[in-house]
Amino acid sequence: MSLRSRALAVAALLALYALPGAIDVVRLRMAIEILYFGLFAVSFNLLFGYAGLLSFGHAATFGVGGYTVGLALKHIAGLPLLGALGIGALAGALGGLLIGFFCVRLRGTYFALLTLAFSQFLYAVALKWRTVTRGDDGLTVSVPDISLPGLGVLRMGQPAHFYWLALTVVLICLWAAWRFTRTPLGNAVLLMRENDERAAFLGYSVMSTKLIVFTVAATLAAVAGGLFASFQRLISPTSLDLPIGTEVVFMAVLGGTSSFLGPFIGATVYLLLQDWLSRTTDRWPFLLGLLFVLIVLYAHTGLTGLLGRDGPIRRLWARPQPEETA
Amino acid sequence: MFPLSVYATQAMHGIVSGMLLFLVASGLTLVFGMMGILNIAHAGFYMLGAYLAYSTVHATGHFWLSLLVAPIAVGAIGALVERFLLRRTHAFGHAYELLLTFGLFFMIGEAVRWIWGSNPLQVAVPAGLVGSIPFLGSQYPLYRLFILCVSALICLGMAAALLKTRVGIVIRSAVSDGEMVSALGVNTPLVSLGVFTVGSALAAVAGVIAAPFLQADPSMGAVILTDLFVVIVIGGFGSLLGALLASLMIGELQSFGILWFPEFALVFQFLLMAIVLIVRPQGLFGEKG
Repeated sequence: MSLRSRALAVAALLALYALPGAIDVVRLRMAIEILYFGLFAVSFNLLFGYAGLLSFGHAATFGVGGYTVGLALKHIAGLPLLGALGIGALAGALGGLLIGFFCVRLRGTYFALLTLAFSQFLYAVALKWRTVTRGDDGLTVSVPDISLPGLGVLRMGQPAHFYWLALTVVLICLWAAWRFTRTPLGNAVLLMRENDERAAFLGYSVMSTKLIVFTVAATLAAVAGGLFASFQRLISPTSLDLPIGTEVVFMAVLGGTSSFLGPFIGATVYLLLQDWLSRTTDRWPFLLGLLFVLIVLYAHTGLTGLLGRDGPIRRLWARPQPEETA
Repeated sequence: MFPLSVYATQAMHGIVSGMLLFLVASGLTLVFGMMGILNIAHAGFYMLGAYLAYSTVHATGHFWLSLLVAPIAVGAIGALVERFLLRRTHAFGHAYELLLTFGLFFMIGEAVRWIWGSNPLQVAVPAGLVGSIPFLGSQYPLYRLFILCVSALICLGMAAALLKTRVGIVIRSAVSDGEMVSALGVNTPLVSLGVFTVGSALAAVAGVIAAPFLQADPSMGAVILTDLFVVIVIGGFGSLLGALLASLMIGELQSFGILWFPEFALVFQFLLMAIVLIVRPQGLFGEKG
């Protein structure tokens, strides 16, 4: 990494942490939502963009993370929030391992449907197991403050403090996910997306590699769900349902599935657009659906594909290059 | 426990809703077999059928007219979707075809809320089919028997068309090996277009006859969608016989599930689907895994 890009990264990081000083509370709450939905979308794309596995049930582990954090904070006295998020991540990993064990053996449409079946199954359980989940009413989550020795207390009731917590957790998760995609294992995943028979011939274990990606994606989704539950202070069966599983697909495709941060950008644009549209017109879901269909039809590489180095917009502005002759 | 006639009635309910489900599932199955596309928007076409029935009855007072209007309108929409949208996404791979139909399903749902509102709309049972007739010691609603007859007739008609006519032979061979059929000089894109159109129209017919029975409801698309997924997976992708058996199974499962375990009826069918996918991923009658 060059000195210039290092300096830029540090400046961007400082700017991100200084954000609460620059924007009002309403926008700050939006920024927090962008953080956890961004993480959720990136985790979805580890499956879709990297492994080529389209999941319609990615909400399953998002909800598992949310419920675990909520239940852990309720039933374990004195548990700090970070501990609860850790337990949530662990539950997400276990859930991912279990669901993935059955799902990764299938491909394409079959995979999409089985993931959907699991998330609908969990949805039905969350809806009906009232003694634990409180059913339709949802589980209220009481979030303890975090005391940082020598630095003071992060009060979770204050959006700025919650923002710092969420930013830190999300940055760590994104960094870990990015590192994961750069490992030899991460590269093997790309190979399997392109041709898993060949990967098997080369001696890779296709099933266990896919299972590892599925578990990693599930873990990150559970962390996102845990942040969601602690920010909303409520977790209900809708967190496991199709609309959330749909939104994450929208976000990832909108941002572009061929780059690591594309889905995060997609989540940002989606949430801002949804916020603006829903204040402008009652028909915003229809317009978002239309936008999604148009993107699939005309720009299936998403925003990052449109604006990226080889995208049509850059080419429009670029000086015409002399054609290479063979 | 319940008297015997309750079981008989529940079993009949199961058959009726199973056959209705099959009417929707058959178009979906044919399209999947031909093109390898799971058309999620199919559930939206079914819902459109029900709403068009409402509007036709509202405007003209004739229920029977809607059996003509809805399939034609929805079939035309289906043809446009196949010709101008699905063929575009074909080059990007199956995932994007799935995403496209998913987006269309979402849009249809929102368009329905936009045009007809969010409240369920009642469609009156057509005169002549009101009331019940004696059935195994109890009464059975006449309109449900009508649903059974119509779907059984369409089912038989479809079987005859597929097994006995030349077009049917071409469709069946395109399902089993599209490339070979097209090498033999058949215009397979045209066949696909036709199958997609007819499949969409069938979904609309199912929507029309479901409307007096279930009301036209903006959530009916999502409700049948999950049932359809379960049917397609259990029966085996692309297998009509499998879809028929699975539809009847789901119909009975729901019917008796509501009788015995009203809380968990929903859980059962997903459990069944997950088990089938795990034990026999190709479904009961599917060929490919």
